[in-house]
Amino acid sequence: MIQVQNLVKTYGDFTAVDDVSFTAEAGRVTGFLGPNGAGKSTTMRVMTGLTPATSGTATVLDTPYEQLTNPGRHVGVLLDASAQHAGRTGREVLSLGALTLGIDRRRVDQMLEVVGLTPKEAGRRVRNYSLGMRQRLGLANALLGDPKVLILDEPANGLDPAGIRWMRDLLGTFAAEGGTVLLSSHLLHEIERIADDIVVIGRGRIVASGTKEELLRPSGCLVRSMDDAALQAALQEAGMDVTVLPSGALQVEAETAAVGQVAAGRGLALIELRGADSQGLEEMFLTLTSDDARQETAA
Amino acid sequence: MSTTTVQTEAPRVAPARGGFHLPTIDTPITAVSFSRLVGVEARKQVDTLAGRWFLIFLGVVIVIAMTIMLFVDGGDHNYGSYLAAAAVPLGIGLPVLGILSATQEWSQRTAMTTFALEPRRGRVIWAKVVSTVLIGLGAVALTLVLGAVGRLLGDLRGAETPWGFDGWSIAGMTLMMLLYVLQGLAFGLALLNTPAAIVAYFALPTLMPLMNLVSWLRTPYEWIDLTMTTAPLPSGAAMTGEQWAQLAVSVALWVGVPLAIGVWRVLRREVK
Repeated sequence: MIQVQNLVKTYGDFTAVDDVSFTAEAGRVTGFLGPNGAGKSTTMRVMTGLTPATSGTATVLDTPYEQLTNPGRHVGVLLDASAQHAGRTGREVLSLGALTLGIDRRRVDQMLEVVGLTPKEAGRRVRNYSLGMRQRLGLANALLGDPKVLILDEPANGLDPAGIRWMRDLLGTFAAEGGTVLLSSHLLHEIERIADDIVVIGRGRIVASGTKEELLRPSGCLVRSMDDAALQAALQEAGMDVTVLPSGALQVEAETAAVGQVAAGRGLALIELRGADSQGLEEMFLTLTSDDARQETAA
Repeated sequence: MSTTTVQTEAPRVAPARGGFHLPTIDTPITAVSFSRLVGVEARKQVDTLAGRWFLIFLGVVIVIAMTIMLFVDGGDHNYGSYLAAAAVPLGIGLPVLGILSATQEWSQRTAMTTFALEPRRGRVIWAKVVSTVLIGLGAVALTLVLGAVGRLLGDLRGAETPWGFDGWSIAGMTLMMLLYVLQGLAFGLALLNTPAAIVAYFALPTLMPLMNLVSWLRTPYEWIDLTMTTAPLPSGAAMTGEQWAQLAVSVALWVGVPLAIGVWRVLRREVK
């Protein structure tokens, strides 16, 4: 479990992380979303003790990261796959990790196999690795100590479709076995498929958090009639929020029953009346974070 | 061609379909011991491509120096001269390993992994100090062996000068080597930038003698130029109290101060 409470990180006048609180539960995959520069990476660095917080706390397994005994055995961290020495071989990177953690060197081969790096690839220097291979190596490094918690920043970045699918299964299994996974990603489609809980951050503040079902639950309904203009006027008179969709239909922020009642009262013939489509994560993300974009232009 | 691609990709996808199983570790979780950190830091100083080629380069330079010694005056020199032939290139080169140990964590951004596995950064710094000292001692041992090999070859060529084995001279050379590698590490820690640290490390002994051009700087120069103050060490002659004091002052200035600055910077620096 990861707990972040009232976390603030400022750089001079700039507030990178502004009073952020959330919990990533054990047994669940928590997706951490936000536009570039929203404070995701900073929050993750504070969690892992790489960046000091200005105020607030972050704990992993109920302990501040720096106080964990042999943290690599509890928490797998991958914040930047490119942050490896270009002149070391992949195997050497993992061997150094195993040596620090004090675990059997056979674990290195096991993890190379888990992430699908062949012995030949593991013998090559990291400078010759593609981004996808670096991500695999980084994941192997994160999994090395058999951790209970994974903190991953953009781990799907650069992976091929097979790799993305593989990672989804890997993280799913990890959570199913009781592990905690916190991952950030720009691949919203991926997050939508893999995450159980979602935390959205914009300009350093949490703008939404909850289970995926809660956040993506559709609101309002969709209606089409023989005379949309009349229906729109009638619905607005009834105090409902109506938007005309490009397709010609009306999106109404109300229950289907209430909309049907209004139409019936005016004797308007309906062609279609149904609950709105579940809004995708992308839709939600852009809606939530567009406010920040507007603030940005206003400021 | 396409067939081979499918075959190599297949094992990557296969475990995903069959439901993943992550192997676990049965051994209990133990704290990261300091000796393990020292081992890791020492290994990190020699396991990179740059580190390895650097050592090979140093080896070649020493072999060339030895060969030259064997051909000058028919190889008729005492052991100390052969030692010096090996020690000079090592003394110039090895501090670079100390510099890289500190700076590469930041230039190659491995600090992210290093400090994620050991958040108590002070321990990592001291592990670097100890591993640098150990590598310095290793270099001294190697120098002793190479010097002996050179002198033995000299014997084969009929050298008549006695070996002249001098314990004090070896102790002095050891101390000098350790001071130099520690100075390299301290410069690396203070500057945290490879080119800057290397330039500063090598420019310093070149620029310091310029102080001699200004009459009132001559006395301070004798106290702060590390090259001058360490010069009596390998001779094996007993050093005067003033010489020891000069050594202490210059070491405090060029090893102690940068090390203190370096520790302060690394402890506070944000790892990105």
